[in-house]
Amino acid sequence: MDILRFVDEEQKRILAEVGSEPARLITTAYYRQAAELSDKCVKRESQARESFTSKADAILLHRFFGPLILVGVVYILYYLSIVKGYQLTHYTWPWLASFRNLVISILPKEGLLFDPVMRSIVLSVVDGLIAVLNYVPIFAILFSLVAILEDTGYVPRMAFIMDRVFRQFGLHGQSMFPMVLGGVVVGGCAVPGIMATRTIKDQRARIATILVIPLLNCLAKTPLHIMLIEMFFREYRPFAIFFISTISLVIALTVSKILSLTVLKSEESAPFLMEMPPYHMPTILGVLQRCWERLWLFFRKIVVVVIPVMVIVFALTSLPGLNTAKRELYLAELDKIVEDFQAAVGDESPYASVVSDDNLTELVRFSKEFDLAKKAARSEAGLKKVHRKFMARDLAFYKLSNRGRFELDGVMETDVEAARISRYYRGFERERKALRSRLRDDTINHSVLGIIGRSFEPITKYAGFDWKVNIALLSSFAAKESSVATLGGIYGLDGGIGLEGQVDAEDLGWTDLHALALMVFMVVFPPCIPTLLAVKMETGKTLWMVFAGLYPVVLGLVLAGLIYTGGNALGLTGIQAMVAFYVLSTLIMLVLAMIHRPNAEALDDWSS
Amino acid sequence: MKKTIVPLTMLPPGNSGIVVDTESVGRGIISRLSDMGLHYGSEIKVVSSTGLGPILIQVKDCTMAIGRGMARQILVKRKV
Repeated sequence: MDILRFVDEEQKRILAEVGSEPARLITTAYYRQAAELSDKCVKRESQARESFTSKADAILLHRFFGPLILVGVVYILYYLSIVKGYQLTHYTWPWLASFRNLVISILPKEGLLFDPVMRSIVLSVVDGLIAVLNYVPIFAILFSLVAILEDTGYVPRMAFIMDRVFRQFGLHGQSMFPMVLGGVVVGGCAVPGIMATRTIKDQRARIATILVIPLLNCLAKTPLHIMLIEMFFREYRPFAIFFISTISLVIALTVSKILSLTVLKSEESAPFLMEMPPYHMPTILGVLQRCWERLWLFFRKIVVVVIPVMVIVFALTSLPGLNTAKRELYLAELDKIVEDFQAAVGDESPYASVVSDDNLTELVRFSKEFDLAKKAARSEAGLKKVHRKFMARDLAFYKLSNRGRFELDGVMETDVEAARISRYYRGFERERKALRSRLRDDTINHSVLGIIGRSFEPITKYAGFDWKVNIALLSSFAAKESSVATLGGIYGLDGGIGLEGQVDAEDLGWTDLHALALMVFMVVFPPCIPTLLAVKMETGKTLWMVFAGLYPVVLGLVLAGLIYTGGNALGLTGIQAMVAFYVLSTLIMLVLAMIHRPNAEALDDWSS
Repeated sequence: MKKTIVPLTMLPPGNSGIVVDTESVGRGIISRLSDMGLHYGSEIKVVSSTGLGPILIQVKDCTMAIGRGMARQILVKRKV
């Protein structure tokens, strides 16, 4: 302790004698020395690169052109990764589909009505995995482009340009880059976004950034948005897409302003001070390395989170299951459907034995595998091969599954009797699927998650969400990627739910206000579990993680309630409500931007 | 005759000045500035300074952006 006092006294003595702080004297001497040394030892090369950098900066950081170029860069970034990357997924999807088929082929076979539990669990995990893996091409492009931006030295320039805007909302210029990763327009991922906030020295702005990044359009939210737009806002598609890709930023900026005025008030703020490094040509290796680092985060998310979560969701939606009496009831119904079908075929038909009780299950499996194989075929030739393979496997089954048509000595023939029966068969399949989905509905209805979803209904009904939507939302808390599939599953739309989701509006029984409320709720949807873990890791506080998980629920319910209940009260249509909501949110955002804290000067200050 | 010692924010783009003092003397300001290679006696050239947002300066070979609030506290001697 003596030494501390000694230092203190010495500091005062020097200040009194020399009139300057020791720290100041030391740094001055330090840098004078460094300058002398560097003058002596460093031979300067030509200034070509510096002058190129300053010429480039004259345009890229220009008062008017700078922001325009920035918008252009962000647009190109998303265009290449989302639009082009999405096209790439058409090539990668068949691989994933054949992986799924491979898994199916080694799983226990499905029954007419009840499936083996093992099969259902593994399939739900595989579907969850595939839904996430399907994004890999998009992320690979996005992360590579982002790495190029980083390596060229443009990222600090982005911060410079955005600082004057973001300051108004309690953020920092450096918040821009993490927000690009998190999906400022459409399709990012919050996890690498939150990781990228590490460089922000301003603690208040950093936490604000971390808390609002999950509000942006992460890629997993996109399928649901697209599905709802296609179903309910098809006529207004351009506006609806504009709405969804910008409303998230409007909400994020509003929320960050509110947070920095309230809960983040006491966090430490720091001034803007950044070096603008000379522009560089990125190297391929460096870009690939960074891309891989961020992709790896994404893969880890899959293994650590998606797999266990899909198992848990499966358990919560199927337990405790139906009681024996109920099962008997469903089995009896199935028997009736089977009997009706067999009666329609008739005893005299040569196919009577093909559709007999012993063979029917086989026929159903054959037909389903045939459909799957056809979908997985990548080319015309591949499709032919599939036909040949299944024809060779069982001609009678093949004819019934292919509307009676078959190939004989290189000529297409039609078996009239098989064609007649295949019509009845399709009817039988329809009824069987309807029964299965009723069964699933019933199971979910009485499951743990169903009971929870129903118990939330009194609150969520103001937002227009019934218990089924609640279940879908609860389970997509784990992995939003599955929201479309879950909705499809819960609403009893058997099979055929791709990423675009072929769900019909009538099946859901929704109005466009329902859809809008759900879309806006999805925008402010609580962060997924990997994101929450990232929040905890980066802020170092569990409290922030809890906060990040809870405030979106409240906010989302308020906004969705405003749209659904308010929209209904005013008799608005979906598109009217959309415009009204957009105008209102933008106004609120602009008003908030004008609020300066009493000590606004201190925002840039460091007196503390 | 114009004042020769002004806050950095008052220096128009293209002009240079030499850092003579900082208005508030916290440990923060000194260590931060030295981190960036800015110290008393170093020459700063203003590259661009718009009414809003950070200003762009050049120190030796290095371009950096500095917040307006911070720039206001850096006093420079105008160089002619």
